[in-house]
Amino acid sequence: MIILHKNLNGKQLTSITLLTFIGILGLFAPFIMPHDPFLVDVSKKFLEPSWAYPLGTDHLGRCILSRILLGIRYSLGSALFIQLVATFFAIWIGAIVAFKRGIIDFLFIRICDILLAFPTLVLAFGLIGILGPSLRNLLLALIFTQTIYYSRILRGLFISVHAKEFIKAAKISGTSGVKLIQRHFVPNIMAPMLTIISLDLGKVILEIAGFSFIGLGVQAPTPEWGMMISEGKQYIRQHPELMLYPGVAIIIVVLLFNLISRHNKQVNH
Amino acid sequence: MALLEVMNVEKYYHQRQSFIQKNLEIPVLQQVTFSLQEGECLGVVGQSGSGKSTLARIILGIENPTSGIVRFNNVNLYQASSKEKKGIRRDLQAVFQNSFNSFNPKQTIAEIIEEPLLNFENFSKSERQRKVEELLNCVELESNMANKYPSQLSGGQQQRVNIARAIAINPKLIVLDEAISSLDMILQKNILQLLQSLQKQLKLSYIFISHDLNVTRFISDRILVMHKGRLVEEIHKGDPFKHPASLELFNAILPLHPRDRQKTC
Repeated sequence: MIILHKNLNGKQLTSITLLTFIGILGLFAPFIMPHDPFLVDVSKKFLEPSWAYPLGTDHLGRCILSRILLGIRYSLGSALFIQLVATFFAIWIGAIVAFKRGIIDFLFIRICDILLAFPTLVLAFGLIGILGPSLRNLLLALIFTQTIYYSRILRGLFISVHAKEFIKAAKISGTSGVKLIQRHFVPNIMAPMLTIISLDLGKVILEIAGFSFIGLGVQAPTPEWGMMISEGKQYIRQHPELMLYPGVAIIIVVLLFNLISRHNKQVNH
Repeated sequence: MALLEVMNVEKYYHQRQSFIQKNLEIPVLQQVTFSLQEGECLGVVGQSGSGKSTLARIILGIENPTSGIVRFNNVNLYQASSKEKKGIRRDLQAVFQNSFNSFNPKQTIAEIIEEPLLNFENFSKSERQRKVEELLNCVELESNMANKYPSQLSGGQQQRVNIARAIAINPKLIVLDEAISSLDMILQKNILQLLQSLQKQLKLSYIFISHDLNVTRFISDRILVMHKGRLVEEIHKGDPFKHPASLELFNAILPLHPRDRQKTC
């Protein structure tokens, strides 16, 4: 992977290690979780942290730690999925538009300008409004908005690389078609692109949590972090920790992603 | 038989004025006709903006002329089948002015020199490595350069790598577009000597494009003078210049001794 560049600094390495660790926790959550995160037992509601329940229980007596661990899949997993799918589509759209130019490019830019004039959040709101609230539709809406945004960026990157002298030199050396994209475009585009993707991962996690919080994304009882905050808000006076734990989880992950991308940004500019 | 024939090549660039006005046609090349024999070094000189680089791009097949014919090895460059085109690509290489820009910054020197080998030869990995070493030696660079990146090399070394890439697949013709103009005098001389010895070794032909008449006279068998998109004069080695545009270029060469400066400046 290009992100694992030789000039990786300490902060970045720590962030990557921690995020990998969190990712592994999420992946193996069913084996690590102390309790079933969906098991409702009202007799055990609002328990204090103990050895059996390290972070206590929520208003339905479900283990908070188990819910947060499984929540990694929904928060981090969905965000990664959105970014990967969006980037995949955007590379193709960006490349086609950048190479064809002409009327396709003109129309693409106009459509992008119209869509990007709205904040991503508003655009996603509209889409979820049409499709109906569910995890699948939230993913679709966010993939759509991210794809538009990334296609626009990638189009610019493709065009700027296309104008470079080394592309001309590579063509004279006999390289063409897919090989030209593989050998010359992708390596020169991926460095700035990875910065943007990792910077946006934090943003996407916040968006998923935000949509779930207002009830337009992941539905109960799925233990998504934003959803958990939303459920906890009724008990904010008596038991603020219900909102605190998932909130801290979001903050940690988003900050770790920002740390990686911040360093990347300094390297690339 | 001529290796390269350029017949009545014209090139116009279109400049878009506005929606209402008609596009402006700017002539860059007009009625350019010449031919090049195998093993010959043809110099093309002219001021900036006289159409030298456009001519180079047209000969290399990366830009289409508005009209006219370019024939390489008796094949029309712009009507060739893709198989013929691949053959032409192999025989027709180039070295550009800005050496650093002609390298992909993410590739090592070995990867850069390997590129034409990957495209045209079926070499194994070890054969390629050996060939890269051989080529580096050929342009008088050490073989430990292979794993460095272009940014770690000096201007002269970069230009040598460029030349190594161009000769990697034994082309017949190399177009040198201001290839040594950005180097200092001593390096210019070294590279010129290198080019001359390579020409003898590999029986290459050159089209040497430059604004520097002195350098061009040193290396070329024949010089074409371009002025405002037209070929105005063809001079064989040792012949005097006649056309005002050639004389202007000739007079622009700074004399070596201060006492001669008054005459020309």
